[in-house]
Amino acid sequence: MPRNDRDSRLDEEVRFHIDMATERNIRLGMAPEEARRRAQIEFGAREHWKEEAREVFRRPVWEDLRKDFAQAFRSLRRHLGFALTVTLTLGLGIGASTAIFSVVNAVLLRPLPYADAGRLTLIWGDMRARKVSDFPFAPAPYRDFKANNTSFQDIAAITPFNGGLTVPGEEPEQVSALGVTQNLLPLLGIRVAAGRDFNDGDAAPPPPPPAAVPGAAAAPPPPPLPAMLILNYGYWQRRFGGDRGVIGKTVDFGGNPGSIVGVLGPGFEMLFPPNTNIEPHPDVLVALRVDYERASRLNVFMRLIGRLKPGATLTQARVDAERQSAALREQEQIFKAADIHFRVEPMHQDLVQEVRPAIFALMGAVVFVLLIACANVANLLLVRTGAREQELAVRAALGGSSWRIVRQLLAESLVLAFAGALLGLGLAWAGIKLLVALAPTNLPRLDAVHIDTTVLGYLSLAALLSAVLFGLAPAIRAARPGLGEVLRKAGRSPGLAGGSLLRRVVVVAEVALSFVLLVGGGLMVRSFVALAHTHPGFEAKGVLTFSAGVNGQSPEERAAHVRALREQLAALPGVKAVTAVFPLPLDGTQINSRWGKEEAVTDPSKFQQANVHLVLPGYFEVMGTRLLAGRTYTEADNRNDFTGIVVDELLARHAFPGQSAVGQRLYVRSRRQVPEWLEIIGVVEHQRHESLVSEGRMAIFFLDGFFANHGGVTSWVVRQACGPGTACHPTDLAAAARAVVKRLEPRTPFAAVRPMQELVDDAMTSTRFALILIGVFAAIAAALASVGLYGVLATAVRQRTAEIGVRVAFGASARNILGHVIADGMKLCGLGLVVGVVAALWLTRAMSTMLVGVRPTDPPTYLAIALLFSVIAVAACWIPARRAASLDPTAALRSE
Amino acid sequence: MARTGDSFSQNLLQGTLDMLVLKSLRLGPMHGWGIAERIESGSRRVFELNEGSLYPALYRLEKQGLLRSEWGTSDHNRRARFYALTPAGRRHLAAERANWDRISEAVNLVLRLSED
Repeated sequence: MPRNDRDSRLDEEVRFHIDMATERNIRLGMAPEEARRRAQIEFGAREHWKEEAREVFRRPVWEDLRKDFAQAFRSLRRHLGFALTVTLTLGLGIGASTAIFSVVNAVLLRPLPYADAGRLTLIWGDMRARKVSDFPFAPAPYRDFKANNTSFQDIAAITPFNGGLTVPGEEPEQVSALGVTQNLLPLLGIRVAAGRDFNDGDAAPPPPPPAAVPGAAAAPPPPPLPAMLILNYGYWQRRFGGDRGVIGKTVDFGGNPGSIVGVLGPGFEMLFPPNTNIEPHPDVLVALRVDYERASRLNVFMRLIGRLKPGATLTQARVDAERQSAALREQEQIFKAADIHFRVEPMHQDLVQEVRPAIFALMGAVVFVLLIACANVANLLLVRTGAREQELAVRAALGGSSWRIVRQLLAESLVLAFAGALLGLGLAWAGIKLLVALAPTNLPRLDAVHIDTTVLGYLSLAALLSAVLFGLAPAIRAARPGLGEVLRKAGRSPGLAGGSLLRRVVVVAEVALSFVLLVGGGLMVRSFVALAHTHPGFEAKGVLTFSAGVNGQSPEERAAHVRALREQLAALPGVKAVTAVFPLPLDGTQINSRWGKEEAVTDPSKFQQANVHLVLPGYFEVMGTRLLAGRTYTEADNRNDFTGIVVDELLARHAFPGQSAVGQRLYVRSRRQVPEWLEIIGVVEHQRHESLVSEGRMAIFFLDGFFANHGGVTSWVVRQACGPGTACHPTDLAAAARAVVKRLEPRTPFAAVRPMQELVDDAMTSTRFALILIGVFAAIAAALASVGLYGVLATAVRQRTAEIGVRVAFGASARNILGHVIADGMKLCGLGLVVGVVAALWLTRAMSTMLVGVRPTDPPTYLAIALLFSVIAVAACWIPARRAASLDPTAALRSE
Repeated sequence: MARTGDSFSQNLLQGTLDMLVLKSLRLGPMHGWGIAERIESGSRRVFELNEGSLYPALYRLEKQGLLRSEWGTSDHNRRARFYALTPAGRRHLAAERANWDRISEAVNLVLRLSED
């Protein structure tokens, strides 16, 4: 009914009523004015009841809700301590899980920053005969695959490298470059922000060198074609201040002319799995000039990205790829020998493959924390509902319907959940900052981690579900019929058996959940300790590393430059020794060679892969890598025709088990297309190269001079003169080293300057990250569980005050009582631990890839955590037990 | 939402007023004034009805579907709002009636017992 109609109806009814009363009063003999006045007084304050009558009309659903919430607020304000405890508990749970969810969202859920990214795939070569996967492509197979397949719309190839870029008249600078085929950007759906994209001309191969005519003078080589460059946004801003004038400019790029044709907009990322060493934010893109006809079929360097045709399925693409590689296995020796198969993987899935288990494990951990938080809050609410039983019973007796009471309690839960969500949002915001600061570099798309609508949606859902989860149990219990019993038994009830059973189940679950997390944390601690004690195969302390290549026209000239650079660096004050290597251990770069024994000469499938390092004589001595057998390299060995090699212990053990490897020969393909026989002159200890976590591949060390052209060693290793007892500050040497490089090699960029220890530390980041996160969650969970345990026992003691009084009156000592209560708590704890052990055995399997030197079922860890937890549990039981033991029996009995 | 003693008695009285209103309408449709008259004379003036609380009660009962109302003409030929019992109102009255009898019987029993 519209408000005006309602009001006029009211007014008319009132007028009628008062008129009738006035008439009656007149009949009773009053003067008309007096009669009306009395009638009005009798009726009462008109406005007051009119308001009341209106109330009756407007009490739709939302009005009830408003009342419920207002009531909830009042009730919580009266119990501020309770409300704050619950809010804090929930805030921790919601905040932690939201922070981790934001990582899940950014890394696993949000689509890649490319057009129609669901159709992008990565294509790999697997050398099954050599158990090597994720191998790159040589140019010709790439070209053939691209031309002959039926399921890809297009396939692009990329290859990362570092290059020196020199703006005329300025200092050389090392830039990270990404060599790309000219179709990469259209394939990804990315446009240049200024200038133009690459075209086919940019990728035209250099003309072949003129055929040598016997007797005639060698024709001068044709001038090299310029490298065509597109600058990435960040580099363009940083180096050129966003100047559009650079487009069309010519620079020196790695000794050749380079021409800048375009600039990318912000946000371009070349996402690739971390083991491929592809920098997600390269400084420049370079159009690859590949002569597909003449390029070596053994020079594999291309990483492939394919876009599926609309409607083509992954299965079709895989069949297609297998058909292509089968054809190549028919035609090409290397494909047959190594049993190479092409493998197609969805790009997004492949990118996150390495981190997915860790992220899932973390997400599991935080969901556990949230569940524990909910359990605790449910427990606190149950305790409170228990205390409010009489209030609720009175209300039920007064006609408050069960539904009304459930609604009331749910409203309180929602208010608590909302407060928890607000706090959680703040904690998540801070947590994300911390996560990004701590996270290992192999976590792709980390810069994309932030709070967006999906994350907010998750937060709201988590808060709402928690409210239902922790609010429902108390509400159901409160609404249970039979509350009359409570009224009758008022004050005499030792608590409702059902409620206390529920509380106990909740506590057992809490103990079990936090035990699982603590075991996870314990396993990570053991892994971290194991990792910290891993000997990397070199002494990182006091070593400064940087990269600097030498220039020189001939091998001899380059060899002289390397020698000069080493001598000048070694002559610096504070420097003990200098050497150079490529690649530096743990720097993420890998080169490899094939080796075999006698049988590989006739059967190429017997070849195996090993990591290769180029070194200078004295490398092992300067790095502190121990010689195990034979000898290391000398200066005299550093030449092209020396055929001795040093291998590591893994290779020696693998190739010649149970015998001395020194003096044995290996059939190695490295510097030439055809393998050659090389003799092992020494065996050194294994250096951790790919990661600290796993032992990694076996290695062969070649001298710089072995490869005829010298100057391949570009990572310099400078050991500071600092004793074992004194502190080392290798970075102090950087400025002087830089000056030397600048003086001797003015065209060389001085880059990647960092202490060797930093590379070792970086290799531990993933483990440290997991350790800190799981450790924090485990600590929160254990704290929550002990609060839960305390809460249950405290309530039990309060409810059993009379019983305890009787026991004391009948001669039970304080010790008996103390023991009795603690035993009660420990029973719960023990049950929780049993459940926890079973759950942990099952759940920690998810962690196995993150563990170092310890199995997920490691008995000492389980035992130690169980003991630790028991101590925590005794502490949590102690306070209520003390209270029970110190009860005065007369006071306790009077408490009835 | 703890009810105080005051609101409890209010509750009780409200329930009683509702029952009296319904009862008075068993005789047939009537306007607010007439209902007040019927209750007061019916109770031999034991109940001094607070007239201000009558209309909220009427509105509430109407909203609950126990009463319905329409405009009509009073004895004095004036427009007045007439209230009548709905079938639901009739049933409610019967139930309340039984309830009331049981309670008053119990109260009487207790009073008599305590007098012994």
